[in-house]
Formats: sequence, C-alpha cells, structure tokens
Amino acid sequence: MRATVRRSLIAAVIVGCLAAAAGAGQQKPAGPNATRFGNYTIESQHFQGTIGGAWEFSKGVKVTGPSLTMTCDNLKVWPGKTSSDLEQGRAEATGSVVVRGRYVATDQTEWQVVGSAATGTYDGTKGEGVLQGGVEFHGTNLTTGAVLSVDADKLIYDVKSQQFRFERSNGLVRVKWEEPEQPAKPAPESAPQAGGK
Amino acid sequence: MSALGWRLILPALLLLAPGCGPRRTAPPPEEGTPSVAAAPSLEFGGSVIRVSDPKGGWKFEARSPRVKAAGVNGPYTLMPADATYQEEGKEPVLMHAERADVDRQTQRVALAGSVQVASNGWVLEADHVTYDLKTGKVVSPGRTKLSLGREALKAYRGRVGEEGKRP
Repeated sequence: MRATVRRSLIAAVIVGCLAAAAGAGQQKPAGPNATRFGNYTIESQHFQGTIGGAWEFSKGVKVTGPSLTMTCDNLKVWPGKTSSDLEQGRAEATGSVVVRGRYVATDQTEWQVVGSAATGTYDGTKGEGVLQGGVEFHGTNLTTGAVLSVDADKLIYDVKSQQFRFERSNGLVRVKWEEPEQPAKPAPESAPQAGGK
Repeated sequence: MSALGWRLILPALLLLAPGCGPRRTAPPPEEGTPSVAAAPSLEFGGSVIRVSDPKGGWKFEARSPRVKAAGVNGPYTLMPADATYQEEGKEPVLMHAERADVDRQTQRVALAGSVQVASNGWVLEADHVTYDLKTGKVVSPGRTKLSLGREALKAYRGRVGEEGKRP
C-alpha cells in the first residue's frame, strides 16, 4: 500500500515538474493568436535573432512563466508559424540548465520541484520536452516535507500523453525517497495527558 | 583748406576710422558648429522617413516630431521615434525608442533609449537595438527582455490600433 502511494506521488511530482518544464501550462488560450503557454518573459544580457526566424539569448538567460522559472547560459528559440506560436515551435537551452517550479498534485499537496541538466529542449511538433546530461531532479512536498530525488542521463516528457521516462545509458536510474523525520515521542511527563483522553 | 574741402574729408575719415588697425580674423567656430566644408545639417519638424525594399519585399516607416539629417538623403536621427516595419505577408513590427538613427544607404536602423520592438504576441524591450531592414536581423548587445503571451498581445493590439488612428 505504502509503495503504491509512493509510486503515485512520484509520478504526480515528476509529471507536474515536466509539464511546467516543457511549457505545457494549464492555462487555456484567450484567443486564436494567444499562446497556450500563458505569459512568459525571457531576459538576458545579449540577444540576436530574425523576425520569423531563430531567436538567440545568451549571458544570464532567465525564463519566467506562470508556474516556473528556468535559467541557463544560452537559449535558442525557433517560433512556430507565427512569432508568438511557441506551442508548435522549438527551443534549446544549453549550459547549466536549471528549472524551478511549483506543482499542485492530484491530492492537492503542493510540491516545489527543481530539475537541472546540461541541456534542455522542447519540440512543439513532437510535443516532447527533454532534459539531458547529468539530470538531477528534486521534488519537495511542501505539506509533508517528503523529498523525491532522481539522478539520470535523460528525462523525456510527452506533452500529449503526460507520460515521462528517465533514462541512464550506464546503469540504473537512481530514485531516492526521503520521508520527513517523525516527530519525537512525547516526554514521559506528558504521556499521561495524552493517554488520558 | 576751404570749408568745402573739410566737409568732404571729415565724413571720409569717419567712415574709414573703423577699418583702421590690423586685419581682424573671424572668431573660431563654437564647438559642435559645422564648418563650411562639413555636410549641411538639416532639421525638420513632424517628419516621416520611409525606406523600402526595391523588390517590394518590405517597407519601413519612421515618424518623429523632431528629425535631424546630415543631408537630404540622410542619415536621419529621430528623437523620439515610432516606426513600423512591414514585411510582405507578415504581421507588422512596431518600434519605439527615445532615439532612432535611420540609414537609407545601409538600410539599417539603430534604436536607443527605452527601446520597444513588438509584433503579434511578443514585445522586446532593451537599451539598444540594431535592426537590419534587409535581413530582418535584430541585435540587442545588452540587457534584453522578451515578453510573450496574452499581455504582450494585448499591448501590441493596442499599439496597432494607435498606429491605425494616425493620419
């Protein structure tokens, strides 16, 4: 039973993180030209690009969205048919990629999630988000304090099916679950009070 | 000397007196004042500068209440500037800056000071931006912020509406 609960929590946390990381935000589009991704900002110390072509951000790149922030050294974005159409576009983040987000699981518990890797990509036509190269994932349940950690080479998230998988080329994917420390047993003098009820 | 002679000589002396002494040289021009050899500096009020692709692929139009030009054919300096870049079959790109330098020869625009470049669903904000009208390439060598989504779309549509109301 406990293992089942753990498995479902792990799934919920990772799906939530990846949904945020891949930009599959929960917000619905406001109009035909609105992006499903909600309001996003990308900040950097250098930018170059062509209208309707690729956009390159470098030096201290920070992406801020409704449910996530991502930092990296370089970010290249290929929009879809229109410049604002990232849903069908493509993005490549390289250099110290760190994704931070918050996720409310199906049991209404809130999780703080952090994923880091050497590179991160999102392909809108495939509907796939990938973190690759020394993937480290940490999820903290803000209600219970439980911590989930995963080490892998690659993390793949399918936006349509909301399925995910971790891969490691040499060896097994390492998953660590830490329950919060149980509160100390009441001192002997307080025991009669508790037992008296 | 007769009275008539003095009457003629005195006015002549009075007229010649200011011209006496060493030849005076013209004062040096004040700093920033163009010399005769320099290109003439022109200033216009409430002007529109247009640059377009000879093949008809795009057109650029910049407006400003104050335009300075090195010559009739530019380059032009607009302070402040509102501009529109329209590529055939694409959404217009709107630009605003405290200053814009438009060079028709190189078909390049340099924007500086509270720069905003916007199109359908996105707004780019920066301190300095260069825009190559031929290639559509945008470069911001410093602090840059790109906003995407509904707020950017709303702001863009508002500005397109303002542009459309202009005579």
